[in-house]
Amino acid sequence: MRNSLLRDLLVILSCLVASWAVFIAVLLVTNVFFVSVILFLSVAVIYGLNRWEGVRASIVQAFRRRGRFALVCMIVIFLCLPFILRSSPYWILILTLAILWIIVALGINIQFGSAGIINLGAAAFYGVGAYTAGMLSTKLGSPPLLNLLLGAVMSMIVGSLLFIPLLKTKSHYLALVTIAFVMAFHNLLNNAEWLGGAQGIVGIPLMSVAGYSFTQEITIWGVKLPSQANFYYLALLLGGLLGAASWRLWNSWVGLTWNSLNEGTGDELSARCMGVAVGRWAMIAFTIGNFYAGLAGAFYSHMTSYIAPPDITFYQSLLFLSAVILGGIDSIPGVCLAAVLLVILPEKLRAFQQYWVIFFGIILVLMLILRRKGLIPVRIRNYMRDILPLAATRRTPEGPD
Amino acid sequence: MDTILNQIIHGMMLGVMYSLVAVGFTLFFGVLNLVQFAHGEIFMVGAFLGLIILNFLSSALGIENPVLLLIICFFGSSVLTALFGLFFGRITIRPIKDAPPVIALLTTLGAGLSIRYFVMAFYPSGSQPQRFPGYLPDWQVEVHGVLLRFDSLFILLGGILLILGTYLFINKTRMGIAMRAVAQDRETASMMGVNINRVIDTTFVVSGVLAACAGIFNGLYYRQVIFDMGAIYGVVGFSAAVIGGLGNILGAIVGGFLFALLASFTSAFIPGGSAYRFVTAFAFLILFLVLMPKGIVKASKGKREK
Repeated sequence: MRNSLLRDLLVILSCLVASWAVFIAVLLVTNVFFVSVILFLSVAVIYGLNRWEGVRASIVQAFRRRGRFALVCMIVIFLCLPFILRSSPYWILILTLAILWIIVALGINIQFGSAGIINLGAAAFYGVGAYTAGMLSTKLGSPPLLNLLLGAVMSMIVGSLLFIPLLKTKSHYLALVTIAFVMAFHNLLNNAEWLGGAQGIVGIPLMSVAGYSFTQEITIWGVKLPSQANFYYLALLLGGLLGAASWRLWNSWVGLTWNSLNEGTGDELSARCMGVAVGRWAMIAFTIGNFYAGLAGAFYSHMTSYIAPPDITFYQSLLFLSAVILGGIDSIPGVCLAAVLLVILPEKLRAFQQYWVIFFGIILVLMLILRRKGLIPVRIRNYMRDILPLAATRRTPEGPD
Repeated sequence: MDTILNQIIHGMMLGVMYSLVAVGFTLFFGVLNLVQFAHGEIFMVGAFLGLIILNFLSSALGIENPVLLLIICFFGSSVLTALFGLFFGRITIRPIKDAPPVIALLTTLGAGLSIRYFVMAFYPSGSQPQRFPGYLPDWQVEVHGVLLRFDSLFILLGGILLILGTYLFINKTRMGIAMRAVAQDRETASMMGVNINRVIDTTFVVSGVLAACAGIFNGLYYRQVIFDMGAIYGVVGFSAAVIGGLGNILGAIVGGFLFALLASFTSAFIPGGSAYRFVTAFAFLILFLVLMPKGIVKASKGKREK
């Protein structure tokens, strides 16, 4: 027993350290050639380990048995990241942005991944949050932390405008409704003078909490961290809370209910027969997702002090949604990974900026044709794992048939 | 009164272009039962191919006769765009033709994005609007205060002829009947000896030709084309097809005209409305989907229920 404990801890530590070392190396190495070599090698290693049944089983078993230890290690690494990256504040800022993307993507994952409600207008809800925070703080001077909440609530309220179409339409019709919504919203923002028009809102005060301004550097144990670390830690806190909430929802009867009304994993008719209030749960999923998007948007406007219509487009919505598709529909770790990749990759490929969208489109198409279950496919919920030692089974988004 | 008539003519002209794109959407939906969201990009590719052909003919070969130029331009761009659509359909649509509708929609969205930015990156200074040579005469006449421009009339007439041609093709030819059979029931049609893959290819060819002509019309009228013009046309065409009832050709045409008239009336009669014309149009669309999700034009008898 003792032996297996030690082995598990070693396995977990080495996996985590290796993956984070790769991640940080990818961030800090500037030469595109070396970055691609590192990425290629790590993909090859992951593929190899995945194929090698014994190793894969022992890694999976280790993470399953010592899940809490792995979680603590992850949190420690997240907390330490600004220390490691303190010489490049730019990457701390990008990582903060990545956390915001994770928040939005988790919200869309509740909508699209769990409940099967396609939302191609997520950027509009992100924009509602961002504009609410921007307007409130520039016109009324309300405190940023309150604005985060108000932005998220406003996004929920605006989302309720779409309740009736949400209940009445499905799949591509609903997709069209949300596309029309984001396009109309973009058009409105571009022309509404009282919302700043095409210039957007400039000079939004930066984040501050109870008089503590986020523009000052922080010193912890004699190590000076750049001011961007403030944003990082707050985003990490919010992301952690929302991520935990999202995980708890997924792993509960609520997540199961949502899955039951999803076309891919469930069947609306049978759900209705079993007494699921289909419409109500669809509205709840949609609203919670919009809360996530609005919160991230409000944070964004207090982080960059600027929000404008070009950030709120149909294309941006597609990017947000594709985090769910690329990562794995309904798979929370996959969605987080894909959201981070979608933020980091364009930054790394800055030299090929004009080809990025082409590349992104091709990746999206290839993933949808060849590997529809995503980078990290969703697992079957493993309830009562102490009693029933279920093997690590995977379910495809297409469902049992 | 005169403004109303002028707006109606402008709206009709826009409506022809929207309808040509919407018919493409509706054909795809009928035959393949999926939303081909890259269709707006095929429209854009058609316009750019037309531009390339015109530039090549006038600068490299020195052809000056506008009638000859336009004929070659329409013909060449239609053929090339149809081939492009065929190729596109084979690599992206065939693998997903049995996937859930949302997956198909996202795949074509991604593919369309790639096409759009491919044009931006590889066409010389592609991120700027490209001047489209105006070969149509500037002739115009005023009848009782109504301004009739030659290019509007040309587009109106050409578009109506194209739509009529498509209608005849779908209803009178063997291939058209096969297409309608596949739209009704794919399995039964294949049991009756219809070659499904050929029907799919034909769908891409027909809609490619319509999109290419719409693209050239658009270039001739506005005198410029830009790489992201397909984005708005894609959404508008899809909306028009939905308003008319997806899978229904007549419905797509009605929807296209309705959408265009709505947009041009908003910009004419609501003060400051021209900036908000898409807000009203899309708000109308959402309202419409809620009230009449099956479209205006009732599906003709024998259509599958969906």
